[in-house]
Parts: sequence; C-alpha cells; structure tokens
Amino acid sequence: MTVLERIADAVIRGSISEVEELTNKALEEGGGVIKRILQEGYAAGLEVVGERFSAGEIFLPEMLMAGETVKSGTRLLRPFLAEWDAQPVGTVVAGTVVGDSHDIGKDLVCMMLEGAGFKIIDLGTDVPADRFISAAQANSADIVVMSALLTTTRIAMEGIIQDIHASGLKNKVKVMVGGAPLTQDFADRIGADGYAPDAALAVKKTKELLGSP
Amino acid sequence: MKEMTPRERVYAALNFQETDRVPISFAGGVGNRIVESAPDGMICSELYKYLGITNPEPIMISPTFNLVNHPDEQAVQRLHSDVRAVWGTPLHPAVNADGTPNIVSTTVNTHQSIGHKVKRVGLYDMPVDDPMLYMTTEKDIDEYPWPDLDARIDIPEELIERARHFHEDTDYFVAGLTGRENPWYFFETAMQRWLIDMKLRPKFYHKMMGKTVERMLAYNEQWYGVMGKYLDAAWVGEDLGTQENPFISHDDYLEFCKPYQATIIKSIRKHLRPEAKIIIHSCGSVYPFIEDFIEIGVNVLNPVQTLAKNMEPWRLKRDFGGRIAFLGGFDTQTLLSLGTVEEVKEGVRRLIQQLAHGGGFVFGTSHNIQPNTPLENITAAFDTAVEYGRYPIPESTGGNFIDFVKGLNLSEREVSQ
Repeated sequence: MTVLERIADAVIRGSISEVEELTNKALEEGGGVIKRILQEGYAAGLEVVGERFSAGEIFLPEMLMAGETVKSGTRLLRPFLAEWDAQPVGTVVAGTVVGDSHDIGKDLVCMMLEGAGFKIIDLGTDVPADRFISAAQANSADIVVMSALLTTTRIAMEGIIQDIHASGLKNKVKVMVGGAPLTQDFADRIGADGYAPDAALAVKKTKELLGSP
Repeated sequence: MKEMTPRERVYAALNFQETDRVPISFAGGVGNRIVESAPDGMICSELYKYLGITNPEPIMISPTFNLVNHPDEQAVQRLHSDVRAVWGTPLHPAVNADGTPNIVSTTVNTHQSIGHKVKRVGLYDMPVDDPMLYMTTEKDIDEYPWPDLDARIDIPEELIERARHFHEDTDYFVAGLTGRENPWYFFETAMQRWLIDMKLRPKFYHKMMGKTVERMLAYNEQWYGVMGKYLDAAWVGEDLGTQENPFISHDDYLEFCKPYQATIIKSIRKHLRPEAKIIIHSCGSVYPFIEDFIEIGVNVLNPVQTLAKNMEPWRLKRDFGGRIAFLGGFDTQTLLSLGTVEEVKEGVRRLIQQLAHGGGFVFGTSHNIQPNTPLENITAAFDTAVEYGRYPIPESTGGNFIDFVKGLNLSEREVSQ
C-alpha cells in the first residue's frame, strides 16, 4: 500500500497514532502532498467508514474514532494549510433546529463533511432561523444543513427555509435537511434543496448539490 | 375463564400463560409514561380533562424530560393499567400555584445525576452542561469528591406508603424504580463521550463505569432493602438501540456493558421475592442483545420499539417467545400520534394477534406519550386492548403489524396542533 492508502486504512481502523505517524511520513514529501493526504487519506478513509456505518457493519464508537483520527491528522497539517493556501471544497453552516437538542447525528454529518474537505460552522442545537441566516451571510456559506429529530421540531424547518429564502439567500445558499422523522417527500414539500438519510449520504448529496467532485 | 386480578394477570402473562385477557401497562415504568410540558405540551392535563377527571392531583414531573411518573390514579385506572409504578425520582410540579409554568432551571443533585444543569429546549427540560465532561484521565476520577457511599439515603415516607398501599391494599402489579436504572455515565458526560471512551480511553471508561455502578449498588442496597418486599418487579435500564441499528457492536456490548448490568441485576434480585420479575428498558434496535438480556436474568423487555430495525413483533415472538416477555410495543412514533382512531384500533388488534399467543405480552405504548397526540387515539388504543385482548386471541389475519403501520405512510401527515 502507498502511504496515502495506509492513512485511509488507519482512519478506517480508528488508529490515531498510525494516522499521525503516517501523516508525518507523507509530509516528508513536501507541502504539495497535503491535498492528497486530505483527499486520498482522510476523506477516502471516512468514505469507507460512512458506507460501513450505513450498512450497519460498524457503529457509532467506530465512526467517532474515525473522526478523531482525522481531527488529529488535520491538527498536524494545520501549520502547512495556511502556507499552501488550501481552499476548502465549500463552506457549510450546520445546526439542529430550534426547540431540538439532539446533536449526535448533526455532529456526524459535520465530521464527515469536514473530512471531505468542507469548512464547517457548527451552530450547535436549538438554532432559530436568524442564527442560520447570519452565520450563512457572515461566512459566505454554500450550504445550510439542518437536523431535526422530533416530529414536532421538523415542522420548524419549513419556516426556517422560507426565512432563509426571504433574506436574500435564495439562490446563493443551498439547504439540506436530515434527521430520523424526515423523508425525501417531506424535504421536497418544505422546499429543501436536498435530503439525506444518514451522514455518509449527506456528504454525497452535499457534493452533488454544490457540483463538487 | 374467571376474571383474574391485575396482579395475577400480569404474573401469569410474564410466566407465559394465557390469561383472561392481555394485561395492560400505562405509567408502569420507563417508556410507558406521558409528558406534561407547560405551557405548550400539557398533554397529561388535556388527557385528564378529556377523561372527565375532576380535581386531579397536581401533576408532578421528573427533573428532566417532563415525564409524569405517578399520574392521577383515576387516569391510570381509566386506561386499564394492571401495573402501578413506584418511582424514587424526586418530582416537582409542572406548574406553579398560580398556574404559570414551573420551568426548571436548576442543578440536579440526585443519585440519578450529580451536578447536572437543566435547561428548557422547546418542549423539554434537558440535561445540559455535563458535569463530568472535563474528566479524561483516571486521575480526574480519583480527585473528584464522590459522595459517601455509606451515607443513609432518604426515602420519603409517602413513597414507602405508596408501595405498601399498592402491595397490601390493592391487587395491582407493583413495579419499582429508584430513578437511576441505567449505569451508563452518559448522564455525567455526553453520549458522544461515553461512546468514544470505549475506543479512545477504555481504562478510563471501565473506571468511570465502576464508579457509577458502585454508587448504584450502594443506593440499591438501601432502596430495594426497604422497597423490595412490596415489589412484583424491578426495572433496570440501558439504551442500546437507535432507530436503525444498535449504538454499539455486540463485542463492545459484551465488554463494556453486559457485566455491569449483570452485577446490578444480581444486587437487586437479593431484595425481591423469588417470583418477582426484572424488566429491562432499552429502546430502539436492540435485537442483537436480547439473548444476552435473557442470560443475565432479565424477564421482560421494554419498550419494544416496533418500528426500529429487527424489532418487528413477528420476529421477536418467533425468536424469543416463551423466554422473555414483552411490555410495550404499540407504536407511538407514528401510529398513536398520526393515525386515525380506526387505524389505531386496527393496529392494536394486529399487535395483540402477533404478540399475545401463549402469554408473554403486556400491552403498552412503544415509548412515552408525547404532546400533540390525539386524545381519542390514547383511549382508543387502551380500550381496544381491553376489548380485543380476551383469550383465546384470534390468529393473525390480514397481515402483520409493521406492514400495516408502514403501509399507512404516516410520516407524511402532520402532527395535530
């Protein structure tokens, strides 16, 4: 296996020490390799992890560990990212909607998107429309990603989407929604641009919506 | 068959005997209750009005999640419950004396949780500011001022009297709960921390779990020492399932959860009469762990979240019928909250057809009844369970419960306001 393939493998196996060691090894080749570490190492590893999670082969602890390895590896890359002028693939504003404090699903989506090269502004939970809007404007976000875990809080999403559109962001920012009580039909009805049933598919959908590779 | 008393009926069902009718549980324990959230989610008050209950007792709720542990006896009777719960959780009024919402914003210091702050988010009083999230090393655990395990716990006289009354003066099946059934330290830290610690810091994980279990064992010794003689069942708890899958792998469950729960069950057992039952609460998709539950001495599975993966009534009955009983099952996620009265009634019939043969089933909701649930659906569900649940139960006609519920496409309907 190449070093980059070994990095992906270490992400899949959740080994922080190996990801760090191999990241340093890869860096010996010089700054130009950073993009490849991010894509062929971390993002590739996370994609496999996401697929296995969707398939029910691995579970939350393994997903969270994979996220930890990527976090650790990215910390090592940070000093070089600025030099190399690494651009994120896109900017995401994420949050769980007002009245809802569930965060694990939303955190997983953020973790997977960050691993795929997106810049994440995570607003946390219980987020009303105006906070989504101001964060999207302030960060020139490409997409707003909203999560709701209750039948009663998913209702709030329609109003939030209307407010986002009314604030002038309609053709500038995509909106993707997710969470257990949501369906594709519901997402279509409330005017969302996209819906994904889990974190792994959220990455695919986000890339599709933004026309990213 | 001669009419049985509620206690006889529940015992017989849990011992896999057919009875006069399927027993019923409302407010019998975890995942079996109703919410009261002032001002916008007062479904328990609404239910009382709907049932024509005059002068109900003031509604008292749990420190978090706004659950009515001990609803008014008139409501519990009206919904035909054969089970009565006795909860050790300290409760507070849902509203103040002047009727204004009593929205909790305080620190909880109970055996349930040390130092949790509570904050209202939407309809629910949520635990926030996880008090032990800062701990990452074994040293952190050692340095924490843990409460004295030998300190005498205070069991209110009214609670002991509640248990004694139900046991001696009535013929209901009495279920006890201390208020902390689940040993996982996700109460003290966040769920994400509890999950990742298994991988990232397993030695820390075991030490923290050890601390939590130690506290529970010491508490149980005293609480069940006093209450055990009045109880027909004791509850234990975990939360192993999501909608789609278990939270953790079976291997991780074996290492990180099972031994602790086994220890807790053993400690409670000592204080119960031999015929009494252990009921486990573990929502979601928990199919892979049911064999283990049976092995460590669990008699009854709750809440039986039938819409979760591999939790179909036909599958549970086929694979575990006669070895573990089921308490719960009637879908609250979609059918009770979004169905019509006729759909609810049909759902009850199908659920009973699939779970009640040969006993082993106590009818109840698949989780707590939430605000915006149509009141007529609640009475329809419990009334139909009584009317239809007489033995002999008809064979399954027209298809199974899950196909029926999913076929209604209920998540496309909006909640009633």
